[in-house]
Amino acid sequence: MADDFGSTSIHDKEVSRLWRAWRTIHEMVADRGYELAEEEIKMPLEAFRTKFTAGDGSPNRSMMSFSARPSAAMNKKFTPPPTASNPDPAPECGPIWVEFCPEKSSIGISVMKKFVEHCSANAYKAGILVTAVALSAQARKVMTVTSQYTLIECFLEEDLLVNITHHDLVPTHILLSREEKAALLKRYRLKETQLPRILQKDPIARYLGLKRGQVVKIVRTSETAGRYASYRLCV
Amino acid sequence: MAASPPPNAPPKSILKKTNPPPDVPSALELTGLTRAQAAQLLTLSKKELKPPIPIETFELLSASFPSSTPPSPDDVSLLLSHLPEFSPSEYLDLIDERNCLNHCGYALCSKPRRNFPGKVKIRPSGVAKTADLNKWCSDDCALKGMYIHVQLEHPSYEWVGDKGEMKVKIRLREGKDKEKEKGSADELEKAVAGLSLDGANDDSDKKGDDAYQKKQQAGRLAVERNGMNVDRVEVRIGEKEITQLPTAPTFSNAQGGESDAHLMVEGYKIGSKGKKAKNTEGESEDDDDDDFIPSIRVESLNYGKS
Ligand SMILES: [Zn+2]
Repeated sequence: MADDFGSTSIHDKEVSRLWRAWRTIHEMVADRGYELAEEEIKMPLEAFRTKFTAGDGSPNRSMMSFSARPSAAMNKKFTPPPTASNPDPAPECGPIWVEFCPEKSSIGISVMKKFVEHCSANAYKAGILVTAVALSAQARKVMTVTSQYTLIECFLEEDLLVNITHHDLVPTHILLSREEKAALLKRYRLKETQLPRILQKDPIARYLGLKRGQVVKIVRTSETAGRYASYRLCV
Repeated sequence: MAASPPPNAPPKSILKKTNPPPDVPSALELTGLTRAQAAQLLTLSKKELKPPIPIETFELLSASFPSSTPPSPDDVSLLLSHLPEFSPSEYLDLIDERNCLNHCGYALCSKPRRNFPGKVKIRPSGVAKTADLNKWCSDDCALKGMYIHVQLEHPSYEWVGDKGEMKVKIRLREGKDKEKEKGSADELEKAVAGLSLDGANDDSDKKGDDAYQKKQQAGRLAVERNGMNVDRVEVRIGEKEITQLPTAPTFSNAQGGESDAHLMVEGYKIGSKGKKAKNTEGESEDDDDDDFIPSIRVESLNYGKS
């Protein structure tokens, strides 16, 4: 394995898995349009190990949380068009908070509530909880109930080991802004329900954090047609 | 040549004649229901479709519950008041939620759950997944916990209050030690007491007002059944007196001493029944004829002679 540095620590495998999840989640946050430093995204395993492991080599997940602010481009994309009643609308996106859950046996209501409360107390518009184990059914419910105020997402470490968008067969997905979507529907004289669909639970939709009603542009390279774009509505 | 239209006529449209668009039927009309029926359906669906258990209830019953060891009567009544609302899957969620906090899955147990290593464990009763075993602190708790789940899965309802609401009846399973103490006869007696309508004979563990309520309910039920509270016919059940010692049947005294009497069941012999019955029937018919015809002959002869 490429990330095997020959260390004999029993935590080695766990640390390298965590490092992969760390990279993917940073790439994901950056791909969504948040501002992140290049050296944070591309942190090598050795640097990660020295920064986030305890003396015995075990990973310290509680230290791995980070936040990010939306970039100017993202703010522009998520700002609704000005209207007469609201001439200077505020962008619909805000800072994001990412946390790695240290819980390793099971995640119940209390853990989830604490995370949600932290997000809303610090006025984060979005929160991502990366967990080692699956959530309980009721914890999942807490997540959806409170999602009106703060958008909470959950990812398993296991699902973040590879960045799916880097795969050769996954075409580029680009989220359209509100004006772009309106222009698209006008250009092709479509109702939005006439667009092909993509499920919200689709791995790519989850990666981009798509919400119901948003449209992604999918750019494929075709051997015969060069580049070719299609559009999908998130349902 | 065509006559030109009269000068006063309005210009004629060259477009196709279209019928005025029909009124778009509302969703209500489409379903074919009257407004009253729709309202009724709505209230029914609200009543019948159970709202999900609020997350606060899960928190209440999972975090630091029960409040004392052994559980106080308040804890038991709190649990019993909430349990009928649970669906079977929500009850499993509750076990899950308690397990997340490392508690035993049985809601009235304050011990931590056990922690068997590995994926499966071989037990006297067979092979079991450790994930299932580790939900509880002991097998006893597992039985008690799943006893509730079974009652939620196959609910039996009881009437509660004056409004005539139906509620799932939940009973708690007695612990192993208690069962031994009391014995199964006591259990049975208790079960029978629970079945009877008037709470007169189970005042051992019920409060006075509870018994009174039950009596009232019994009265209401009687009125519902009979139309009014009538006196019933008194029924006495008497014991049949046996004056002599019973004797065992013997071959000689059964069925007139037939040799295959021991094969007879209530006068019929098993196996050869159909065949034999036919034969005897035929014979008897023949006999009847024989008896009938000669008697006439004899009579006629006698008549002629005299
Ligand atoms: Zn227990």
